[in-house]
Amino acid sequence: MRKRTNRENPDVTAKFARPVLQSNGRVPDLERPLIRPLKAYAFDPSQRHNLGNLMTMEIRYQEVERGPVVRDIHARDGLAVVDYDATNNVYYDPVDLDEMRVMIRGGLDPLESDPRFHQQMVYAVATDTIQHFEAALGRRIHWRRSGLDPVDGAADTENIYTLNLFPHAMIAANAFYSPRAHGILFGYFRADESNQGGNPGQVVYTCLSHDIIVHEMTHAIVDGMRGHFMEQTNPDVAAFHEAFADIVALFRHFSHAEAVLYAIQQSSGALFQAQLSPAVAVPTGGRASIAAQTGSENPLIALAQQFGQATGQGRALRSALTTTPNSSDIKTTFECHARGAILVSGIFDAFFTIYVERTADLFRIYRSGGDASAEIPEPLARLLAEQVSQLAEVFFTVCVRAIDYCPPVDISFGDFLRAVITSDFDLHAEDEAGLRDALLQAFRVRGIVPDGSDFFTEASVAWPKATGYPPIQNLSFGNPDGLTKAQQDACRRTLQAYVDDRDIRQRIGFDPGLPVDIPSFHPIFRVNQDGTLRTDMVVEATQSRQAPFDPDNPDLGTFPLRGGATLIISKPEFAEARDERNAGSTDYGLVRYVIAKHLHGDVGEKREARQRAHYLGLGLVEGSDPARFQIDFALTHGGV
Amino acid sequence: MAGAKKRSPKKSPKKSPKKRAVSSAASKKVPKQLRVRMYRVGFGDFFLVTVPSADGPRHIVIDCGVTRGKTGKGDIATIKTAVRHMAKETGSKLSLIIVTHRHQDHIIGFSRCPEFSKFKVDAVWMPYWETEYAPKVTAFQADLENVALSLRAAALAGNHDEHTDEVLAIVENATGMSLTEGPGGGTNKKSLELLKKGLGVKPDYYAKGDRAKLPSALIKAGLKATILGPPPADEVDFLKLMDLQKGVGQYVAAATAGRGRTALMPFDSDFVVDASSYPATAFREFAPRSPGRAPDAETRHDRALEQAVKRATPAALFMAAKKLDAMLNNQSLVVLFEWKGKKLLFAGDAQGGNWEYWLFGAGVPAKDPSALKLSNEGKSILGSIDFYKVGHHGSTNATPIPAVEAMRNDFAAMCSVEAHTFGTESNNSEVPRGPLLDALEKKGALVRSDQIAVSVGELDVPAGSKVSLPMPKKGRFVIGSCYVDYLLS
Repeated sequence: MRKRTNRENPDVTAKFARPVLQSNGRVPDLERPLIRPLKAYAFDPSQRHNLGNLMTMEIRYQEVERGPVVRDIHARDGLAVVDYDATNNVYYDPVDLDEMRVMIRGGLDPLESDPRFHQQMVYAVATDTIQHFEAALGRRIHWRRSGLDPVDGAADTENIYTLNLFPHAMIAANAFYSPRAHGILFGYFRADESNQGGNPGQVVYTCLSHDIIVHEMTHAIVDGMRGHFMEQTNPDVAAFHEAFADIVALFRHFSHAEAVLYAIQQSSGALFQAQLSPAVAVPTGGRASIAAQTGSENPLIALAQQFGQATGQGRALRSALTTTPNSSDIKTTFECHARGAILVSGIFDAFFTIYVERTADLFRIYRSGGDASAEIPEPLARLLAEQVSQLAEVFFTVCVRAIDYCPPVDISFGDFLRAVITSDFDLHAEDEAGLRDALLQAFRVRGIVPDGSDFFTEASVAWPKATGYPPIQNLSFGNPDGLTKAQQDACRRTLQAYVDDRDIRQRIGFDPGLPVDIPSFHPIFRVNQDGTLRTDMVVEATQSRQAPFDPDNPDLGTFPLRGGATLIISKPEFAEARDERNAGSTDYGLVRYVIAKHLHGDVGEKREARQRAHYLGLGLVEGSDPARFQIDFALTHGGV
Repeated sequence: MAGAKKRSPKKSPKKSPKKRAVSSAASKKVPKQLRVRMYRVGFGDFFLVTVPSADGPRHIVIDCGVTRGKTGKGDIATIKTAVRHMAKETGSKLSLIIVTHRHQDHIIGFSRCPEFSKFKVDAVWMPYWETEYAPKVTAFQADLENVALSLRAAALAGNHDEHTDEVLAIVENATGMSLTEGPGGGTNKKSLELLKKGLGVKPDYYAKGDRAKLPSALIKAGLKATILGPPPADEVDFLKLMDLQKGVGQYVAAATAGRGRTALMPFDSDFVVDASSYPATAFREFAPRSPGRAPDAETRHDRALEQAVKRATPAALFMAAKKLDAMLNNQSLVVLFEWKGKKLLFAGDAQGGNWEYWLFGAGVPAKDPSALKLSNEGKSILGSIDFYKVGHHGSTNATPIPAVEAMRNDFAAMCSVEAHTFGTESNNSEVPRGPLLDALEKKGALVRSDQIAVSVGELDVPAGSKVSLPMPKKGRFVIGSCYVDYLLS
C-alpha cells in the first residue's frame, strides 16, 4: 500500500493551507481552457530522444477524475483509464491530471517505471485519435452500439457507453480491443533475451507504443461506426479492420515534424524508402564503428518498432509498403494481417505517388542549382515536410470519411475502394490533386477490383447516384453539437417509416419478407470546396436471416446472413428548398446514395455461398456460441 | 519379393488327387469377398482390410491406436486384445501397413502391443510429413512436437479452467507422452521408430500426386490405390507453424511468469493500490443496466470490471491446441482403394485444408475457400464411393458438408469412436457430431465401433451406444467378438 504523502496528511495541509481570498465579484471568469497539454512518446521508448520522440500533445480539455476517467457520463465518446492488472490481480495508482504539479509541467514527464505516465499517455493518444476522427468525420463518434432496441435489457449489455482502457491488463506480447471487456486491453511482457533489438531482456509495455494505441483505438472507433464489420463474413473483413487500423496509425506519423524532417534528410526526400542512411556517413571501403553510422528503419513507414524488435522479429511489426505490387497476392494471401498489408500498401502507394508528383518541381529547382549531393538544404526539407504533412491530413480525411460510404455489412476491399472514390468525389468534384486517379491505379495494380462495376474508371467505380427516391419528409438534421434525445427519436421514427414503405423497400432492394433494422444514423457536417457548409445524414439499414450450413441437414446449424444499405441523405440547399414543390420547408432530406448489399437475387446467392464456404473453412460449423462469427482480436493479434 | 509367398501344398503321395484340389487353406474358408474389419479400441482407429486372392487372403492394417481423451473414457483397454486377435487372424503377416498420421489414437498400438515387432510386413505407407529424407520436414515435425510440449507446460502452469483438460488431452494425443510411457504402455516415438526402422522394410512416404506402389501380392489380388492427400508441403504450412510457435511462446512465458517467485511485476510495489483509489465513476461501464436509466456512477463495481477483463483474455491455449491438432490431422494420408469396381475411401483424420486440395481441386491449399466448387475429380470420386471410413471419429470439421452432399446414396460407412471423449454437446462441438452422423445415415448405412460389445475371454466391455445394426444396400455387416466386419463382394 502506498504511503500517504504530505499532501494527504491533514495536519500538514492545515498548517500550510492558503487563506481563501475573496474576489470582488465583478471580474469575469477566465474562459474554460480548450487544450490540455500532455506529454507522450511520439513512437515508443526505444527511440529515446530521437526524432522528436518526446512530444507534448495538445488534447482537448475535458473534465477528468483520477484515472483519468472522463467525468461526463453522457459523453458518447468518453474514456475511462482503469489500471487493473488481471494477471497479478492488482490495481496501480491512478494519475490525477488536475493535480497542480502535473498540470504545470504539461503532464508527467515520460518515465517507464511510473504507471501514472503510462495512464497519461494512453489517455492522451486515445483522445487525440478520437479528435482526429471527429474532425474528419464532421461529427462526434460513439462506441459500439449493437443497434438493437435499447429497451431490450439484454441487448443493451453489449453497448459500450464509455470505452475502458486497461494499460497493463495482462502479461502478454499482445494488445487488443475487446467488446466483451468494453475496452482495450494492453499487455506487457519481457523482451526476448536472445533476439531483442534495442531491448535486451527488458519489460516492454504495449501501452507506451503510440502506434499500438492508435491501432487499437481505430478498431474501437470503426466498431462504433459500422457494428457489423466485426462479423467475418468473407476473408476481407478481418483484413480490412487490420489494414484500416494500420493506415490510421501510419498517417499519424506524418504529423511528427521532427521525424518527417529527419526522414527527408536521411532519404534525400525519398520518404518511401524502407531504410534510411545513417546520420554519419561510413567512409568508402570502411565499416560502421559507432551507432550513428548504422542505418535505421524509416520510422515514418514502420509500425510499432519496439514491439517488433522485442518479440524477436529484428524489425518493426509491420510496414506501409511491403512487397512489390502484383495482382496475384490478393488471390493467394488470406491471413488477415498479410492480406490487410495489400490494402495498406495500395493506399500508401497512391500517397507517395502524389507526394512525388507534388514535390517534383521543388526537386527540379533544387537540382538545377547544380549540386545534386545527398544532403538536402534545410529550407527545401521544410517545404517537403509541409507538403507531406498536408497530404497526409488529406489522405487520412478521405480514408476516414470513406467509412461512411461503405455498405453496412460484408465489407470487401473492392467496396472500400468504391467508398473512397465516392467520398472524395462527393466533396471535390474536380480531382486536381489526381488523388482518385492515383488510388485507382494503385489498387488496380494490386488486383483489388470492385465487384459490380463494369469499367475501371472513376465514374464507374464510384457508387452510382440514387435516382427516383422521394424526399424523406420531416427529417431534422439538428446542428453540429449532435441531435437531442427528442430529435433522435423523431428521426428514428421518420427513417423507420421511410424504409418500411413497400415501394421504397423494393427500390432499395430489401427482401420484402424480412423486417428492416436501423442500427445507426448520424448527421454529418462538412465544408465544401467553396467554403459553404454542407449537411448530410448517413443511415445504416439492415436485414438478417438465419441461413443453414447445409440446407439438407438443418441440424448442423445456421449462421446469420445479413444484407442492407447505407443511405446518404442530404439536407437540401436553400435554393432547392425555395422551389415551390417543396413549399419552402427545409425539413426534408434527399436520398443521394444507396449503397446496398442485397440478400436476394444473384448477388444475394453469391454472397450466401461465399459466406457459407468461408465459415466452413474457418471451422465455425462447430460450436453454438453466436459470438464465434465475430473477429476475436485477441487471437488475431496473438498469432493464434 | 518377400510378399509373394506362394502357398504350395506339400505334395504327399498318400493324399488322394481329389483332396489336393482343396488346398492347405482348407482349414479356413476362402472368402471371395473383400472384408473391412473395424476393431473396437475406443477413441482411435484400428482397421484390417482383407483382400481375397488366389494365394489366400492378403491383409492391410490401417492405423492402430487409441487415446484417453479429455474425459479419460476414450481408452477402453481393448486394444491389446484386438491386436492379439488380429495377429492370429493374419498369422503375423501383413501385405501393407498404412499409418495415416502420427496421432496417438492412430499409432500407439504399434509400440504398446509387442506382437507388431514380430510381424512380417511387405510395405509401410506413411504421409510425406514423416519422411526422414527432407531435413526441413523433419525439423518441422520436431518443432511441432516442441510446440505441443510448450502447450503442455503452459496448460499445467496456468490456472485450471474449463479448457485445460481438453488442451492436455490434445497434447497427449499429439505427443503420445513422448517423455514417459503413459498408462497402458507405448509412446508415439517408439511406435514411429518401429514403423520406420523396426519392421525390416523402408516406409514409402506419400503426398497427393505421388503414385502409390502397392505390394505385388495386392496388385495380383486386384487392388488399386490412389493417394488423395495430404497436399504437398507448401511454404504456407511452415509459416503457419511459425505463427503458432510465436503465439504459444508468449503464452508459455505469460503462464510461467505469472506464478511463483519469477512473477513479473511491472512496477514497484509502492504503486500497487486497490480499487478504492479509483473514483466510483471509473467503474460505471460495468454497472448493471436498466433500460431507460443512466448508468450508475455512484457505486464502485470493481468486481464486475475485474471479471470482464479476466474473461476477455482468450482461451488462447485452447485455440492453439486446436490449431496444432488440425495441423497434424491435415497431414493425414488419404487413400482411395479400388477393388472389382468398388471404391473404398479411407480419409484418416483429414480436415478442411486436406480435403480442399482434392475435393475442390484447389491446387494451392491457400486458395480462397469461399470461391470453391467441387472439382470433377472430387465429384466423381465421392459420387461413386461404396465405403467411407468416417474422418476424425465423426467430428464435424473432418467431413466437409459439400463432401457429404456429393456422396452417392447407399454407401457403407464405419466410424471408430467412443462417445464423450472430446468436445461438448452443449456447444455443438461433441465428437462424434450427432447431426453429421445423421446426415451420413440418411445417405448410407453407418456403423459405430461403440455399438459393438466386446467379449473376448475375460474381457467384457458392454456396447457404448444402443444403435441397431443397419442393413447396407450392398454387402453386409457382421458383428464379431471385438469388431464389426463389412463384407463386400
